[in-house]
Amino acid sequence: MEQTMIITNNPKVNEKYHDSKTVKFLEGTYLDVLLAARNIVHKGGVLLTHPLSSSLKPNETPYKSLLVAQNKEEVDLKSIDLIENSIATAQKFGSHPKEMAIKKREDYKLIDLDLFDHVMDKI
Amino acid sequence: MRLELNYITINEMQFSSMSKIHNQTLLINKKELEDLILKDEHIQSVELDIARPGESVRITPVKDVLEPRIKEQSSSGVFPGVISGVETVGSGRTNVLKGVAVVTSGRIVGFQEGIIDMSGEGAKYTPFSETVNLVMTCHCHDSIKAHEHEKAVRYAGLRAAEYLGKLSIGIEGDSLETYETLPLLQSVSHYPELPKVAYVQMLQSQGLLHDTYVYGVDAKHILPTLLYPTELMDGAIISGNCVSACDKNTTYHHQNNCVIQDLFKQHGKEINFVGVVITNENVYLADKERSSDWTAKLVEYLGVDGVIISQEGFGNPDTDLIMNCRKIESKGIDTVIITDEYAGRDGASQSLADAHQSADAVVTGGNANELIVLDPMKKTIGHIEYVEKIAGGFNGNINENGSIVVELQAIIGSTNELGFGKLSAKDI
Amino acid sequence: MEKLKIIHYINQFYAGIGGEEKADEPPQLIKGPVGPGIALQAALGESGDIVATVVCGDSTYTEKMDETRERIKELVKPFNFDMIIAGPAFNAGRYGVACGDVASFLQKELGVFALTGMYPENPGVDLYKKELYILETKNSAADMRKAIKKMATFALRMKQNDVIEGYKEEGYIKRGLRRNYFNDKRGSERAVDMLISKMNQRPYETEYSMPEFDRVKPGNSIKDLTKAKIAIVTSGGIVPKGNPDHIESSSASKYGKYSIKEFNNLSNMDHETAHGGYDPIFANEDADRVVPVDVLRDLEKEGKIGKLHPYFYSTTGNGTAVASAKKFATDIALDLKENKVDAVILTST
Repeated sequence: MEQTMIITNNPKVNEKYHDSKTVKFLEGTYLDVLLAARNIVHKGGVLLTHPLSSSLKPNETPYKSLLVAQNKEEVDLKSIDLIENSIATAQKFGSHPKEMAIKKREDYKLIDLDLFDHVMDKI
Repeated sequence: MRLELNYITINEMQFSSMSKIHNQTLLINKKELEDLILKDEHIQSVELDIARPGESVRITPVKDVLEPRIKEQSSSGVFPGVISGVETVGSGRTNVLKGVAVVTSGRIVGFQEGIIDMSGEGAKYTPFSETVNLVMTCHCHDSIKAHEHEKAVRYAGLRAAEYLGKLSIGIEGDSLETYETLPLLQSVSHYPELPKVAYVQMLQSQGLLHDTYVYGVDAKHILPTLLYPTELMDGAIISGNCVSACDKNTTYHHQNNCVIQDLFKQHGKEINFVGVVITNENVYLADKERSSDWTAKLVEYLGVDGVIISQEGFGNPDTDLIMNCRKIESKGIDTVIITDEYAGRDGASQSLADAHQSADAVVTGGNANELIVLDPMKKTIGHIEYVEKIAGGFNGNINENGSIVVELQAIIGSTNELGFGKLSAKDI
Repeated sequence: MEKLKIIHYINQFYAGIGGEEKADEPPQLIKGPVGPGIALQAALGESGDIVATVVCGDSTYTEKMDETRERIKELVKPFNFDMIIAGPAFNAGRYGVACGDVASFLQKELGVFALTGMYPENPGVDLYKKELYILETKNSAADMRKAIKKMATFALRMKQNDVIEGYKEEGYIKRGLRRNYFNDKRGSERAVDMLISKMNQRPYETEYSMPEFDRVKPGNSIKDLTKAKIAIVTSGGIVPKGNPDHIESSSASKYGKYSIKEFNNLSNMDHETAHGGYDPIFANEDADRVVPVDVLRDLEKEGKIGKLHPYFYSTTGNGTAVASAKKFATDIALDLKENKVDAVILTST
């Protein structure tokens, strides 16, 4: 079973998984999460989930969670392609509004967590 | 499988003391319908409204849109596996209330989205400005979980559609359309000269507010499989997807799948339309590989010459779309893909999140980032505070005269990826 | 329709001031039409007036872009004009960049209409096509009459808000922008028609062309660097002092191959930069900063690399047409292969 790492800026995902899995939790934006994943991919990480999960746009939802497999010898070109294209797509949208009602923010966390839970159920 | 659709034309709707259909008018006993909906204890209250084409009315947010249909004499019922039993649908006769839609509105999450304008500029971009709409605004208790809330509103829509559909029992329709698909080998021997075509429909399947159900089965958990085209006409596929208003398929879209309708128009003439392959759009990359491999394998097994592939949603489904296209093309089968675009407000950015040279036949539903100005509407049905939120959520603006500048992505069905609308985009 | 009031931008050559030797002419304003502006005025007839012409040297504009733009803006501001028309520049690279830049700058800053005319391979096209309409011309001034007519016609259409957004119909270079429109048929019907055509091998037109990726398979990695022959190739414009081959400061039409046999490092006594797109002070002080001969010689002496190829190849990258760059690279690559070079360090600025 390969070593996996969760990369996320969603406190709900961190809270749920930090005891049982390796979690790289960052206080940052959606784009920051993709950039962190990009750095790991360039060092041999393999993406297990699609970085642009959910139909919520990068300038709508502040939250993103990704799953990567680590400790690979060779760089995975498919993962590089995917993360770089995802970053380019995300950058098209600009950033989300800084002010957000708490309920809305909580709901975005919830959706991200739910989509991520379904992935974690598989592995 | 042979299905007759009995179309009963409806062009007006009124609340009345008795629910019935009379002279192309749908009369609804408000209390009776409310009571039906409130049987679900999750729903605290519901408001019913009518929105007619041409009225100065905005409906927002929009959860789902459904068409009232009913199977009169059948062991199976519409929306199988959900509000009917699991018996296979798609044959016999189904009544359709044509010209009517049930629109559910419910604040499941703080960012609920979707606009339908019944007149003005915005009306041009949604098919539901042309239907007489029964709008159901559902309110659930604050303590309810989002999953339960979504499910409650989903079922409320289905039950309302069934309730209205039942009113057509015994009514002679205005027109009858017959659709038939023979089992594969019979179909091929019936039309030996015609190229065989299958429709590959990609279903959104990622989780809360992003789900689709097939005979009640969560599409996340399916392996690509076969359906007869007429099964969709009986509500075999229903929507739990309420994110990305412009390119999500409402249940109405599934019931009236236009790719199926247009393939049937050419069936027996230019093509032999053999069937539908459904597949999903999961987040887990291995699922994407598995589903696209299966889909390509299935269409090859069917021995088709060409497929149309439609997708649903933004971002990661572009990867599934390209995988499906690439893998099917590599088997020597011609593809046409239907997608929409996010090319930025100026149309200068790359439209899709993924690309491949084998995707050389593309139909587009348009650039969802393009800005439009919505005329001010006299009345808003739904949650009024969403007017500001929707404008803000898409970085739109409300002008002094009350008109709203938003991206097209805020409008229900505007860039639909089944090709439901006439919107397209071109290079300039 | 009100008369269209136009400012016309041309370079020193078309203004009759001089050729390449006058490319450093500062921007100036002349009332009325000048040079090709006269033909443009004739083509506009009663519907348009060239109120003034801005003349500027190509080197001036492309080497001092920020200040030149602002200066031109000050010159034209007093005029109450509707549109800036620049060129046509045909295939002249620096002129094309200047035309594209001045037109899009004034469009943005002053809210005026803008258009220009160029040959599709002009580097100005890729840089500015998304911002403004570039009418398509042939690649030389022999096309002047036709180009002027095209630009005049289009200018009047723009003023009347009569532009159909279709590059084929209108004669401008495809801008690479997507624009929504309502088709007669719904998407699914278009898809079915398209599939029927495709299966029957009849022509069809895709509604969206996948982006073309110029994919190059990465070469094999070097197994043993200590045995490898390394060469330097630069688009940073480093040349022997005096620029004997006259490599242009932008929109280069050539590259140079220069010997470094006798050099352990480059200095301001023997090398300089020809590149007009960056502040040259540091590169002129010490060209090693762009072409690292000093470091590579050290590595060669230390045995860390096998050998430094005795020549470096140089051109200027800014505003250079993609087609030109491809051609230079093909030639250079052949030379490198013949000389059994194993790896190349590419430097740019």
